Amino acid sequence: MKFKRRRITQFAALVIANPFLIYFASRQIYHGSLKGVCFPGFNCYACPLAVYSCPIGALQHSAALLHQKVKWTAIATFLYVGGFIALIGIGLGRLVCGWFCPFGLIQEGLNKIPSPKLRIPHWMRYGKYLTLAGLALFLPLLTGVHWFSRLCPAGALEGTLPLVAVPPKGGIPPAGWFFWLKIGILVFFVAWMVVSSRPFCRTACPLGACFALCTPFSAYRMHVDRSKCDKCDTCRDVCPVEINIYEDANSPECLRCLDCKKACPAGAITSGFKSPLRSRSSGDERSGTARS
Amino acid sequence: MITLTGTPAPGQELADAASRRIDPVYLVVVALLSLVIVAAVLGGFNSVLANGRVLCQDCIGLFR
Repeated sequence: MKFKRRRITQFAALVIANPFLIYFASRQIYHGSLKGVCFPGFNCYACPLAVYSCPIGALQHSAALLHQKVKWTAIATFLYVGGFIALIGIGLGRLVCGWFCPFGLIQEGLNKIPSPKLRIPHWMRYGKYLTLAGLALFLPLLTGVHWFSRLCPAGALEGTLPLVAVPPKGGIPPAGWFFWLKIGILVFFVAWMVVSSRPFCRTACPLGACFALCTPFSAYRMHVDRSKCDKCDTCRDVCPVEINIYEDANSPECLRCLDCKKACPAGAITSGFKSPLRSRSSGDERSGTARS
Repeated sequence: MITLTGTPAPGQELADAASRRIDPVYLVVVALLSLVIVAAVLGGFNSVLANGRVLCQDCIGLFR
């Protein structure tokens, strides 16, 4: 059985994000210093095996602190978390989504289940920006509550269900109606993941939205050599987010999974670290004197 | 800047070489990295750590 390099990287990221197996013996979540660091992918920090914080959870925390008028700490937290997300975004763009995100791996696994496949309408991509602005920033700022975390399907899958199955010392409070709402959202997304490719990343992920905003300016870039490209659409057929890479090589939607690069029969698609300013001025992304 | 004789103005070669070497993207990366470090030291790290150490009741949907 041959594993793709990307799949190995995704599994490695899953293990790096969730190595705290001692939980099963101690029944206490990890309390060490690594919880002060955010994991660059989407991984719930309420997962009993998690050792890093969720960047979106931390971002909501900074907004909620501002609501509580803890201004200096809130600003430092916001700059720390926001700066970290921007740093990863400017460096790698959505390469993180394609190669390191544990929740992305789960979605790809579920999409392997044989079923009729549905396309996702293009306009739904704006949902993730609404989620970021509304649920992860504005509502926590207004109410002091982590609204996105309360509804997050990744939290339900990686945090709620494992904690209900293997409760921590001291137990957990009894389930209320919000618990069932959260499970309902998870069931909805799981069903969608089976029939569509990466629906959460494309329509609802606030971290994906942050990286998408950075992707057109990121140092890791895709290049399409238009002199070689004959628009055969092989790239579109293998693309998990159904984009035409030859129209916009550095689209905010592109997860940089690089499946198109491997599939292109003409070898027209390349990728690598290059300045966005220089690649634009030299015309790489338009006329296509691409290089890897 | 090129002079009438076609030779680069004094210092221009050095300026050109510097602009070729230092890319604005790397400056942004360095600026962001500095921002993250300063914000972490000024309380950002401890705040995220304190938040992460508590079992997130919002995340598990079993908040009181």
